[in-house]
Amino acid sequence: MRRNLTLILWLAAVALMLVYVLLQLPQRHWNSSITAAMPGTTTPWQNQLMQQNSSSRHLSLLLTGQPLPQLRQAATLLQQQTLPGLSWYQPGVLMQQLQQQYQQHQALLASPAALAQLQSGQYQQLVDAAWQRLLSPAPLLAEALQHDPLLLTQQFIEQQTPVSSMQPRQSWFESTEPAAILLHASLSIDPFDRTDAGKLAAALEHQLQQLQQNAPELQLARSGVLFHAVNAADNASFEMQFYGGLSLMAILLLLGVSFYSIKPLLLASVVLGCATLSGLTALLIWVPQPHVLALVFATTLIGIAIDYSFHGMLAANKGQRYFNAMLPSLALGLLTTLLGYLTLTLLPFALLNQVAIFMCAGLTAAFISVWLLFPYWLAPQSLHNNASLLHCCEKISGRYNNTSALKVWSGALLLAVLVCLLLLNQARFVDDVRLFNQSPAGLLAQEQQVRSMGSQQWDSRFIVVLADNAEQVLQQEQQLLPLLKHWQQQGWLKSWQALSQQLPPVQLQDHLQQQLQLAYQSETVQQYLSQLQLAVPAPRAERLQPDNFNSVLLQQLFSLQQHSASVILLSGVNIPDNERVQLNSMAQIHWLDPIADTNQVLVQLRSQLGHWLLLALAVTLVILLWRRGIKAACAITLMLLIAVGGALLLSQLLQQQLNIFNLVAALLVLALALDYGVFFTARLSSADVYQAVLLSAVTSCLAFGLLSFSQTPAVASFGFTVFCGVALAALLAPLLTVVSVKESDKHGTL
Amino acid sequence: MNRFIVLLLLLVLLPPVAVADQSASLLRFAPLQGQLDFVQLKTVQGLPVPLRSSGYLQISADKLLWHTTAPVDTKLLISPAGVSQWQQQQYVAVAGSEFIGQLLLAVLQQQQDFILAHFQLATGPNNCLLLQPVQPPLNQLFSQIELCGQQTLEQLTLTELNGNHTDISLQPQAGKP
Repeated sequence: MRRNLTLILWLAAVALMLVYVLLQLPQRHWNSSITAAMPGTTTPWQNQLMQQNSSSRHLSLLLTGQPLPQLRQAATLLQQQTLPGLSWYQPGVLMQQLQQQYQQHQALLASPAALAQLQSGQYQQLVDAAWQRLLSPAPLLAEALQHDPLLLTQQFIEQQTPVSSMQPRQSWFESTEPAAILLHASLSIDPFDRTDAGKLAAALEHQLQQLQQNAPELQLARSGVLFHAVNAADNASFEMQFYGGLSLMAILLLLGVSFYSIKPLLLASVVLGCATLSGLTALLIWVPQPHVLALVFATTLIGIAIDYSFHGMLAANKGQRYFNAMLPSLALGLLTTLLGYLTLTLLPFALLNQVAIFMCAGLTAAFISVWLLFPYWLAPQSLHNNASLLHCCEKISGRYNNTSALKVWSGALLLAVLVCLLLLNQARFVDDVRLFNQSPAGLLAQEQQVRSMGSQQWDSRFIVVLADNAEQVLQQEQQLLPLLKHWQQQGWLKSWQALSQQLPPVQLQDHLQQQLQLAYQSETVQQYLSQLQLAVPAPRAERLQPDNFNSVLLQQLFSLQQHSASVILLSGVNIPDNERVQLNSMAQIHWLDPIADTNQVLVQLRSQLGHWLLLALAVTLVILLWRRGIKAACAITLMLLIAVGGALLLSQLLQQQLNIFNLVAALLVLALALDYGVFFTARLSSADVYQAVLLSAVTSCLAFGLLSFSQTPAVASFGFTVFCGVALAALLAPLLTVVSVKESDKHGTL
Repeated sequence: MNRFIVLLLLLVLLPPVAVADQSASLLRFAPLQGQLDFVQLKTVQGLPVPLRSSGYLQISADKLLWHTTAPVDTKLLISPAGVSQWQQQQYVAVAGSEFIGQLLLAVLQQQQDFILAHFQLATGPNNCLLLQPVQPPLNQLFSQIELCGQQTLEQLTLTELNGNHTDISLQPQAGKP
């Protein structure tokens, strides 16, 4: 009666989860950023800054392959078709806006060289420069002479470095030799949002294809995070469906071959369905924006959850008593796997946290389903094992049992030592986050082509200036200028882009006004003014500030909770470490290198994971000593050492390096291999265990082995290591029956 | 019937060709080469009297040296890449001056393609040629450019949108082509 109630409650819970998932899935947005999945920086202001940073919300398109008039037509057509979430930059309009703002604030901005001349009283040079500009046929700003007779603001504008080597036009940048048009756009959507980014990229791609259909000789090169993110998300989605589907088909085929019946297929489908539903529910409850890569990793749930079905089916088929005897081993297996995954939730690693949540919920649900459903839905002796498979298992079992215990012990010991020594000698960890995700070569080539045609190549490293308010930030930027110039002169820095280059701090504008009033009183400037019959301009009261200034460079200014911050973008960075140290002596100025920081966190995480792996081995040994006795515990530990060490060694040989995902996989191998060890040292029928473990190993190898073909290096690393580990464990585990003492009745339950 | 279609096609196709030809025919000045004297009168808002300057131009195929000798000695190097000012023994590029450089070279050398692509052409008083810019950024800077002369360009007036205007008189140097 109580069991019936539990079953009904479980089925009700599954139904609730189904409703929840159906309601939530259409509303949820999936993340595809590899950096969002990686461990982040820990400083609160850095996290705030990275969240507000919109540098990924830009894209560029390069049009080539046709004469300029045709390229202009194509660009115009493209810009005429509006796409929600995308707006094209109008460089000409932006420049005109900037010029108008400067025009209204003449005599408040001057180049650093002109300001230095003012400060040192070199008025004749300023007058000479003004004459030169005045006599040039080039147009002047309106009302230049009334407000700024020395034309300092006019010259400040003309000394601004162009953003790109291509010439700005009204709606794009243009080059005549070779004929090319470069279009820039900003995105109002998050390029890492699977849904929004996918829609926008598809609509844009449709427009681009239409353009190319009309003009086949037109060549298009794309640049921007959107293209890479959508590609990665599509790839992950395809892999999740393809590998997940393939695993599922192979498993169902195996079940069909093993039992010649539809019933096991239905039971396994119910278990897998409940497991997936629970995993998804937990993920959606705990994570607001889950990562698509987490789902790729999560396809491995199929490989593990089906193991529980195999053990459950074979045991239930033998009767309630046998099923009850099997349950403790299954529970022990679940416990060890859960422990393995739960450790991942403690890591500051978003992707692994999400995988762990999904797997823990999924595996628990799989266990509960097997425990509650199988004894009811599978009457004893209702399944007929495939005779040849059973015969094969018995034959293998016999072969293994014929091996002498001494040989097994000595061989295993030797192999474990050899594997450990080789691994210690060969293992080379590379902690570079950039290796975990790889865009297609074609897209990378397009990116390079766009950049080579003059699109700015800002480095991933940048400088952050922190202060109490925007004015102080701009002042701090000014103080940094001499150092940046020094680095540029030394060839350690090609260029930089800071807001204060376009918008000087009010303090500097005040200073310029004071210096100008002094200059206007000097004999040299007085003479110049009288030659032009001009009166001395009155000091300007208004100032140019972030509130009344409009420029794309304002995107580099951030308002954080307790600070204002600005980002100084850098290009061509090759600054020696001993030079960069100078930044540390400047208060509130920070050098940020998100990739290096993430890599540093990865190093720490890897070391942490390594310790956990050893700790997990030690804990396993203690539990096994308690549950299985000294012989079995030592034998299982040796098997685990060989499986985990061998998997890492083979991964090292294949990849020529190891990464954190190999280590995460090693933790999973430990949990899976332990399951095999537990079953082979349990007091269960040898042939049944062989059959269950054989089927489990084949399905796990399929699920993880397929992942090693993933286009995402992180997923492939993980899949290959687990595949090797599971295969090795499945090969070695049957030997445990030879060397271990079987579980006694007394210790037969958990 | 066929003749009618051909005639219709001709009627449809001929006008634009004719307009283009008509505009091109207005460009009657011979391209300027070599050295020329100039006198520039620049009328700037806020200045009670126009600024008078003089000097010479050295025109070659792809660049132009604009050497002002009075009232002060200054040099500009003008090319399709833009205008560069002679400062402290070197030419320093003026950012955003590409179009001015291209415009001056195109007008002095009578570059038909550039002029027809960027201006609407008309004949003004004294048989002068009026160029009205039709696209940014030239139409954001100039309202009109007037070219006057008989066989060669002798007078050039740049009228800016902000009310400033620059009159440039050109004269071949004595004894030089």
